[in-house]
Amino acid sequence: MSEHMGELLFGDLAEPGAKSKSRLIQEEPLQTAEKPLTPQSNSKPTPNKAESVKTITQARPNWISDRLRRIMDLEVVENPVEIGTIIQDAVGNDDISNTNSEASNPENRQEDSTNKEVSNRKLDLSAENTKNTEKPALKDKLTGAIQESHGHTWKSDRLRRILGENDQLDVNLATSTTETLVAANNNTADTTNNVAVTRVNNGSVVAKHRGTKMNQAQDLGSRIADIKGAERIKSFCYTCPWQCPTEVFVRDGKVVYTKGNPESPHNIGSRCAKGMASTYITQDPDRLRYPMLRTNPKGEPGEFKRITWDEAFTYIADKLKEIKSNYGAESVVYTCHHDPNTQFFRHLLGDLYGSPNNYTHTSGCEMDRRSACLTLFGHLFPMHDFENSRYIMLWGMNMLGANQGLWESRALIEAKKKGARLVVVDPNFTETAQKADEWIPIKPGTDGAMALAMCYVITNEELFDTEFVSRYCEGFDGFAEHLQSCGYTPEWAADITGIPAETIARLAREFATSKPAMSAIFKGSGYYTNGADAGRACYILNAICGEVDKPGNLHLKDWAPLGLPVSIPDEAKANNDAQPLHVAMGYPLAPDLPNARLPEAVINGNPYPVKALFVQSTNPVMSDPDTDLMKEMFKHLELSVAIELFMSETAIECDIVLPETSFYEHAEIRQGMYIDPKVVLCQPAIEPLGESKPLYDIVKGIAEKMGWAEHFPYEKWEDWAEPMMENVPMSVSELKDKGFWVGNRKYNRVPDGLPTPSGKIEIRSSAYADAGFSPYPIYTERSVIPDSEYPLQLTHSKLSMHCNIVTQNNPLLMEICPENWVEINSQDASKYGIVDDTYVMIESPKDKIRIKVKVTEGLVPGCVSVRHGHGFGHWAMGSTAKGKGAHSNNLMEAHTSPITGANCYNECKVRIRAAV
Amino acid sequence: MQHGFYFDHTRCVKCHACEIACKTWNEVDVGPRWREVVKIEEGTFPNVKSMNVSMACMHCGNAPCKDACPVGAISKDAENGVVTVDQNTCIGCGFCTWACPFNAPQLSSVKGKMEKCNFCQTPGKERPLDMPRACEEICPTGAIKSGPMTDLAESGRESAAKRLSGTAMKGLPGLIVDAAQNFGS
Repeated sequence: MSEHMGELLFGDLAEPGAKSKSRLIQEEPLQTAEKPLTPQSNSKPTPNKAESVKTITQARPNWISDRLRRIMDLEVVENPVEIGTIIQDAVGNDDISNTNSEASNPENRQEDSTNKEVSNRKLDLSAENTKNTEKPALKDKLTGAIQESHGHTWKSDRLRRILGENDQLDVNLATSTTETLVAANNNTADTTNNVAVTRVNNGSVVAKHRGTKMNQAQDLGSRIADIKGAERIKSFCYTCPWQCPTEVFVRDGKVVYTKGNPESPHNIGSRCAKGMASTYITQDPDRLRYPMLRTNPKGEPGEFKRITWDEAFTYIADKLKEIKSNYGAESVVYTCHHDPNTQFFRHLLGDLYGSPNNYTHTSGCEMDRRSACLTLFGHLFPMHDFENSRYIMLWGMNMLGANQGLWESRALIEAKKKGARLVVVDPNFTETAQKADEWIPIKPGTDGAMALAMCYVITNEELFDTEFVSRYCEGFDGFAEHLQSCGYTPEWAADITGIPAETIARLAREFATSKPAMSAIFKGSGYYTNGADAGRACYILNAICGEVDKPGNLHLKDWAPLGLPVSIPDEAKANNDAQPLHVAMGYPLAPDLPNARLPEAVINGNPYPVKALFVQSTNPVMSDPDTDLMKEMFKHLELSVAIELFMSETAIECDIVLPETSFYEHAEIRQGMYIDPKVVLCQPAIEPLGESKPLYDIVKGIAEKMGWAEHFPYEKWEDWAEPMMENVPMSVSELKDKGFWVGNRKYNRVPDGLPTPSGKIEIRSSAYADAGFSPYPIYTERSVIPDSEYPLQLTHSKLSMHCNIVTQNNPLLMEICPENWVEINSQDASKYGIVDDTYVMIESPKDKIRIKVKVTEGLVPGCVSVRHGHGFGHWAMGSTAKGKGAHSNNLMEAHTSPITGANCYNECKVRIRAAV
Repeated sequence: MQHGFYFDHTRCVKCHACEIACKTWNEVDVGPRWREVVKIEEGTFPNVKSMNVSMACMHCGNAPCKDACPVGAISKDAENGVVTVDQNTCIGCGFCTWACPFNAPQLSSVKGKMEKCNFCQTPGKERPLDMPRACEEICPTGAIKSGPMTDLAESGRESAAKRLSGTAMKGLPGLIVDAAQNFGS
């Protein structure tokens, strides 16, 4: 039985033809090799069937020739039941030989089936055939091609036997033969998965699972509440920054279950593994429960004693006053993740205290991408309208495997089902590459070269959108000249990237002629010192092809009109002319603090002394490069405050540790990370654990000791929620009932002007020029190149079931993924004597780690890829997390992007050997 | 009416949400994994393909685990075809694991009993069959569906599903996998 099951599960996996067949199906939506791909050519019958068949047959000569030979030998007709049944069912004709050729021509099919008279008259039919078909041989080919493209006809004989063969499906195909091959695929996808795309009132496109129980989602939550005997509370999940709206089920003050909010188009009821498992943090015994003060000298792993909140606030306030009088307010730095309640700290330390240094964690995330978006489009965070796209090119972006928004994952899968082409440029065969039509295994750190070469082809062959670039882009002509003068040809890029010049040129043509298309990046391309311009080049592809902010493009989303929770009157604000730290450090284009340069400011006072550091829900000692240096930094701080859930690696270096509530215990209101403008609400479902406090209460406590109590008058969260929601067309009480607010999506904002200096898309960036960088993107080699002693490039990738602190101590997630590993290509593995699933030592010039190894084919030779290298290997926090996996950040020196100051995690060379 | 799962591997992104939803709904201890997502990879660089499969108990037509159980703890519901392990009767001998071709029943080291997917029918937390299973409800990409095999047959690839549900009755597992889709990429 299991033998049969294997086949049921995997189709004819073992059959050699399977690969070619799957490739064939993916070839179909793409006819650009022959002619430009337009929306029409995808949604309507291809004008020339013969041509499309030719394309297909050319695309896969090995397999097709084999297959075609059989078709030419009329082997298909040897199975007359299949074809004959189709025809009989469809048009009631019993002449197999005639109807065979008729069925094979999709265009004729409709005419004939609408005219039953014709199809019932055998003699006439043959005449009809002659009239409609000039090349019967081609028809035969087409029959084969359609059947091949239709997943059901290529099963192994054995599977056919098990299934009893499926003539029914062939009937479906035959009756819909007016559709192109592509449309036939769409049809298959739709009927298979029963998914309809519905436009809902708010204008967002939501995939609804028609006919399944998803429709009952509205009352599903109340039924679940009944089963669990629990109360249902609408909230959102803050395990990762994508904040999926949720329903939290609470019984006797405990969170017993959680699921996605089914009304939210964001996640329509679904969750990810991290979010589902997150209920554990409400009961984690390792959570911090009360404020603590360091009792031993700085520099040693902290020993702490319990103190009261009042003592903690007094201590912090006294230190803040002292530091301000000695060094100025700018010597206090606040860093956090992206907690919306951080705003309270901005009011306290920014407005009232006068520090210009309120930052988040972006340098460890996607700072290069962010700076590229800001300089090009004047938008911080363009969303991806995958759902409407036909051609999607992702660079260093593993959105299905890392913690991207669930709606994006779903939209990408839906787009694929609808026939969109997905190209993934990544050294790693990621979860996203797995779903791609084409994986471009590029050498690490060379994305910029390939993107520039694609721009070269598009400008050189005049495939760009002339009207769009002349009206809405700044500096296009100069850019075209720049590409020519720098010689960014595909041949030039081929040497650098390891991708053949023909492939680069073909991808450029495909991208430029497919509409709507999208080229998007995330972290991966930004982990090198050349990442900022690589990001710009990848985004410029969109601009020169006129593919910005239309349906199916990068979407410059509108943000919800959220107000500030606290308003500080001007007269109460502190005056401080000091430059923000990132500007003073020489990174004027940095959208955030270049974290890897912070130790220099703290230890050496360069560019100016930093004496106090607040760290909230971020763990720089663990997450930033050069762990030793980060630890050293804490010795030199006069005040270091950690506001955390756990005794993290950073918290243990701090002077004072304050327990914050988890997102199940406090309120947050923030911008929804969704393509439409959206507000999401997190509301307290249970009481705070121990003495932990929400951020607002912590800020208020410090403010009271500083003498600023009147600015933080609110007693409960609903009070500060009111001013935030003032301009949002939904009251706080409605928001509490519903959990979120969604506005309307607007496309085509480019003609109205963008918030860039020129009001246009700045291909020639004035911000770059002003800062002394090349106004056009250039390609420079990354900083660290492997050599004979350290022959491998270290790269990093993430995991779908882990974030950082909030997931690493979770037994359910650690059960699925108890440790991280390094991936190495089998060629390199045999070269260095590495055996799969053993332990290896990875050595860089700076440090070495012991880590599990997985030998894979899905990685470019010449590099190794550490999975979640700054997430695993905790040495301070959590009984479950501690000591699991390996922490790779101390392998690298602290390289930063010279333009944005982003951390360059992949700028590291290593060697590998089996661990003893 | 035999109930079962429908799984579309082209939608599955190996996020493991189904596994965790299963565990949190049924309050399963760390150890047994009633549902598990696995990745299969093949090919050589750069022509690599892989696919993800989320598997739970198949609630087989003839349930070999049931026949293997020496104390009769495993039963197949006459009405809905769901195969369950009675936790009060089970002696944790592990015979069912050996008999199962899919390693579905697993020993809970905490309870010392065999556990497996019970179609969200854990006593006290039964999900009525007209609701989605926990795994199905949570799947971000809609890769898992559950229901009577006849309904799945209607909503999925019609004839293939019909035949599979037929085979389930005859003894093959009550699971429909979208096997006809092209494999990986």
